[in-house]
Amino acid sequence: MSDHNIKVLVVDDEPQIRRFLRVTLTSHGYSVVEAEGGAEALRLIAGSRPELVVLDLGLPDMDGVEVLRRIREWSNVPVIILSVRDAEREKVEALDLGADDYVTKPFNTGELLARMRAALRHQLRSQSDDPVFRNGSLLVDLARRLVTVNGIDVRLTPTEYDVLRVLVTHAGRVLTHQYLLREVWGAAYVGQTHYLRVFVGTLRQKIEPDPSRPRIVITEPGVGYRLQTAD
Amino acid sequence: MRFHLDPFAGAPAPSASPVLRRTTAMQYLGAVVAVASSGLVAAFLRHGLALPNLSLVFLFAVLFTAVQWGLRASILASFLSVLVYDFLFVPPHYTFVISSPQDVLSLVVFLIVAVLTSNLTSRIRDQSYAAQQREARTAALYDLSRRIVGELDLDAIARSVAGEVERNVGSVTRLVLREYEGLRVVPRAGAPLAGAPIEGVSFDTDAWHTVALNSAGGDVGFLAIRREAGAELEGEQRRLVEAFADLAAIAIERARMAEAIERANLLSERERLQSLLLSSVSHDLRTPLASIIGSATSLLEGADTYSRQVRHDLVSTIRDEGERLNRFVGNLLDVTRLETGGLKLQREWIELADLVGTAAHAAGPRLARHDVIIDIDPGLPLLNVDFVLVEQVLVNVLDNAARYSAEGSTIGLRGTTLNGSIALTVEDEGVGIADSDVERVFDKFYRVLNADRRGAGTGLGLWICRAIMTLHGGAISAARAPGGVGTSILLRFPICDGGSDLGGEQP
Repeated sequence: MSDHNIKVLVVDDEPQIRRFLRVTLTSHGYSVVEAEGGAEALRLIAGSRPELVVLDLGLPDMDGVEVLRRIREWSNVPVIILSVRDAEREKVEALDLGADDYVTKPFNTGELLARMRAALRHQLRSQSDDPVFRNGSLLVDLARRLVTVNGIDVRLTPTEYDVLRVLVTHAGRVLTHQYLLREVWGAAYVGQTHYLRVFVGTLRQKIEPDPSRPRIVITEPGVGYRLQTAD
Repeated sequence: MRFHLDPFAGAPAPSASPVLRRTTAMQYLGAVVAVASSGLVAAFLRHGLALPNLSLVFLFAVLFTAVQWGLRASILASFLSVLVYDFLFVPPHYTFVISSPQDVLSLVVFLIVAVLTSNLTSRIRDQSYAAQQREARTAALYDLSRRIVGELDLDAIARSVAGEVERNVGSVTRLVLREYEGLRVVPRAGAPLAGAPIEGVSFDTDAWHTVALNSAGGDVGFLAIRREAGAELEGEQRRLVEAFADLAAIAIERARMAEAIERANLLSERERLQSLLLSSVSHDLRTPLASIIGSATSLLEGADTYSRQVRHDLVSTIRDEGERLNRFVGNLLDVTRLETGGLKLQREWIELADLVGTAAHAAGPRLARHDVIIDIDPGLPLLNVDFVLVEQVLVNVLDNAARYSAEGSTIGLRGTTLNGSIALTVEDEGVGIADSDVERVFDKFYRVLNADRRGAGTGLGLWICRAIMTLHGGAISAARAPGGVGTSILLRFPICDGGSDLGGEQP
């Protein structure tokens, strides 16, 4: 996938943050549009049609979550949230409203670029995409319902497989507990996070090289899980 | 001055003490009854006894009256006795005429003896009465002093004193404290406005007696005692009230001093913490800032002359020190939130293994040069905790373990159940911890107090850990690792119900 000339809108009221993001993103081949506040951001999304939005939640003129809500009223453009530590509830709220992912300030650039790639990949993917996920020794082939580690078949229970399947279809993106519970168990089970804990635990035992230090199914404390991609 | 005290705020005034009030009419009536009774007895005995002996019966009445009702009543009894004796028994009967000069003499002698007896007896009676009163006063004083001697609550002292005065004087009494803002009337316990200061106090000396409360440190207030029908506080009563007032003044002054000392201690403790915070903040902020600014200016000025490796080192320094600053600011925020109680736990069900794995991942770069061994018992109950906060606890503990032990040494994490709790032990092979310090490491700014600026700790980390663990109903403790080398940190979490129900399906 080429990142060239993908237009990114950066929404942040701090000029230093905008400057550093502009320099970094431009040098990675993105073209950058900037907005200082929510109103300007909404105008630019309608006007310049960016392909991805990096949105800070702490804006002076409008609540970032409200900006997100208005974007989602008419646009599916991928949105990455910039949030701060200890604001897990806010992150979950933004994700439930349709944000694609988040990074916590202060963040390192590699992390942000990885999130952006995952969000764009998900956006571009179509039915013809290769339904095979690879990370290290793990291979998941959704079309054949096949899971192998180092080429050896892994036997998963139906629930474990469902959890893995949902994670694979959103590889690289954070998924909230609520989302996973709804997708795997159904809407009535939202809130039963301990189901998720236990099945993710046993899933790790079967697919992680070192289950005590997970590298594939990553826990995002207070938010959910993320399937680590190889890139 | 006007002084408004609502006498109905609280219970009605207690009735007067029976020892202190007695009407004279009752005393004289007593004397009459005593003499009349003697007359009846003498009439009954008149045929068996000689006339002079009958007078002894009357003498008994006089004596009895003197003991019971005092001098004036017994003098009355003496004269009444002479009249009755003369009228009933001295011939000629039923007249006051006395025929024999001998009878005149014996009547005169009787009168003299009766009056003398009255005098002596009533004096003894007064003395014994005074002794009784002294005893009652001493007992009341002792009782009051016993109740207020250890009391440090001003209002409780005031209520005890006012209650005691009311009981002894029989009038509504309030203690009025002279405070910084002005006078404050201490109401009765349970009064509608108990504890509320009455503002703009003035008082009416026609309606209230006032007795000043004077201590060595000056005037601390006064007792206000309602005047009952214009009666004055006199003699024994006034002395008693003044003794109560002295006692109250001493107790109030002592309570105020204790309060002042307490306040001073609190203030100096706060100042100590503030100066510690200031020195910690300035050190912990400036050190990384110095590295960052230094590295950045080096890069700006000498970018062309530095080798690739040097540039990389400088940039790495900027990143590492930035992260250190970030951790420190996070710690300061946590301390503030923990201290102001602004932290609300977002509890969720998590596996201990997940917690350990996530924390080890988060502390990753700083653990890279250590051998981390994780051993969690399978099948442990789930924890019901705030994942973000507890992860932070574990990251802090792992950070410390890495910081205070040599590169290449082992850090072991062991998860088990222990006495009905879920326990996680983190052991390193580092410098260890003195037995005398196992508690102090959890003190705020301990590192600063220790004057040990080694490493990059903030002196807040373990304090935060303990605060968070306590919020969860758990515990954290430190000890020398078994075997004597290194430190062992024990985290304990309560086992919560409800985390094991999996809706019938087993993984």
